[in-house]
Amino acid sequence: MTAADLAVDISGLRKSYRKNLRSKPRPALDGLDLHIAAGGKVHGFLGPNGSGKTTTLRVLLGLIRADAGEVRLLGHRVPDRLPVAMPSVGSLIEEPKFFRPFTGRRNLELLADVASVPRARLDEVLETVGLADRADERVKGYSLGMRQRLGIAAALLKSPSLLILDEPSNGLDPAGIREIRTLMRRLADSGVTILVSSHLLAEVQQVCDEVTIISRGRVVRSGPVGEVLAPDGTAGRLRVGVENLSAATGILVAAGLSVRRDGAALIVEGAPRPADVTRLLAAQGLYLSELHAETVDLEDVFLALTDDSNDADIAEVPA
Amino acid sequence: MIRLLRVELGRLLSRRLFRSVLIVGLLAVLAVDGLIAAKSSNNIAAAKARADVQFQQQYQQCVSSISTAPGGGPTQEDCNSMLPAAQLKSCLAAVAENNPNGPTAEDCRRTASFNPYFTDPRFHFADHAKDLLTSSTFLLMAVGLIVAASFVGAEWQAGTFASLLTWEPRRQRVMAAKLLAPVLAIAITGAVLMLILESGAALAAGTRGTLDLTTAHLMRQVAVMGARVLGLVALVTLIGGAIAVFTRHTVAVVGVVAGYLIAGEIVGGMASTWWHNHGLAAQLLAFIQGRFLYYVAPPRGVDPGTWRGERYLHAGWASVIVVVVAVTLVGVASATLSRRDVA
Repeated sequence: MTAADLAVDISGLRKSYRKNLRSKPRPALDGLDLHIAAGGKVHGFLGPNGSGKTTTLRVLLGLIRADAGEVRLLGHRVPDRLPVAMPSVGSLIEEPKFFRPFTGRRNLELLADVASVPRARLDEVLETVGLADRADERVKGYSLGMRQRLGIAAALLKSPSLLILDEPSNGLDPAGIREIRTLMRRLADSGVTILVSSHLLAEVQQVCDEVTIISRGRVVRSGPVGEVLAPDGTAGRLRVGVENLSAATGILVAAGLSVRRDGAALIVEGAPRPADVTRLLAAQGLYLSELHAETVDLEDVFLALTDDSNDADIAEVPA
Repeated sequence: MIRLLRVELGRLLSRRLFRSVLIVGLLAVLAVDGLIAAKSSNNIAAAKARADVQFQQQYQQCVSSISTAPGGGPTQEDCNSMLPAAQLKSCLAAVAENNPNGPTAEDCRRTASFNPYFTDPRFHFADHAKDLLTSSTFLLMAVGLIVAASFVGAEWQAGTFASLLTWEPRRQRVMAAKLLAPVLAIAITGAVLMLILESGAALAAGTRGTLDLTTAHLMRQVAVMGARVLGLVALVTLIGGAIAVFTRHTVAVVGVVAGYLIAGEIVGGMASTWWHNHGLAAQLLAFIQGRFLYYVAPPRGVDPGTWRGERYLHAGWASVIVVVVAVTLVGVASATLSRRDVA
């Protein structure tokens, strides 16, 4: 895959912060690599608080200058060639910021005028995020969820080919979260590449095609969601209920599977298919009372991978 | 760049502060013009009559306090000397002495007809046209500084600077548009307000005062002064915006400027006469008025009687200094913004 095929291409990204001139710099990003192919996929970007997610997104958008590393956005070097890439990039970073005394529509108009976006597009995006009825009210009267919708509307205004969303579901009610999920899926299906950071792991798992998990400024796992959930290619764990547990354990271990007891059942790992377990035990006259596939979810993987990331080495990213 | 500037102008014109300033400025200008018209009067005869009454009252007061005791008060002769006839007689006596430096008969007639209690009730446009401009300069400068500082500072505080950079990542362009928008808006607003102020004053003078000595030459001088005032207001507005780019807060800009005025101008001026005569405040005055007059004490050993201590700061040099200050601050703002992380 060439650099031109990548929507986001980050190599060896480093960034440190210091609280004041006398304090030691603390790394927020420590050689981060991130490669996201262009062409209509949703890429989840996960990490604990302070792991460097927002810093990475800000570097991508040219808001923060990196100490080292190479960053390309839609094939263009950041920050030098950012003006070439930016017309195709929509973004929402953290809580969206607007001029509170102005109406939602006026805020979008000011942004649209910067890039000569036709006014008709305003109505489209306001309709898309469900804010058409409230667009002529002042932003200071908006709830957090409404501001979030307005932020997403602003991100969509340019009809981007790459959409960078930092916590897009922040402040939204369950219905709003589902709308955003559906919207992301629809946009991805229409060819928009989406990089989304979120704390809602179940949401990410539902909507993302690929995911990158970072901790302490480094990538700890990245790839298609299925691969991240089961990195060794196994189908996951099976909970097996059988009357003679010790006999069943012997048969399954002899077949090369990993087995441990869990109350009145066995947890079996390493079986390519559940039918293989059924067949092995039935051949020895042992019949199952229970067979249940225990899937690993993103939360388990995330917590396992980032378990040690809450120590004091994590740099505090300035607001 | 033009598109960006248009957007920034649109945002500035939508701001409550700017609209309030515009309305208050317009009302203030109309109030000044109204006051001029109200205080001016063409009824010279009534003013003269009032002055004559006051003169007579003064004469009667003098007469009533005549005392015969030596050194006890004025004499009848003292009081009579106040009368025009006595003054004319005394003056003509001096004319008769044929002193080349003495008064002429014409001087005497003017002196005799002069009533010290008479003030011309008419508004003389020619006398006040320039004063109106200079007195509005410092107000316009303060307004320009606050509007620009607030325009840029509020954006940092609201966090919208970052949003804008995701639409136009060229920071220098964004900064240029943000600085130029208030400069243009304040310069145009200032020009319109000054035009209304001068036109209103001229109208008041034409109807209830006098346009005597209002020549084309004077109007050219007023126009040049107006242009200088606008230039200065634009530069100060630019300075306010530039400081806000690196302090990121309106109040911080006011603090920096107030700090400079106190430490740089007041304390500095007290500590050094040279600085008092060459500091930024003196340069600003020279820029507005065309020149700034100050006096230099005679050096030791020089006869003060022969020493000519008048010195001038000229508008040309003052403009160079003010422009250098503004350009330096814009340069610092630009360098800071290009390196700074925008959160």
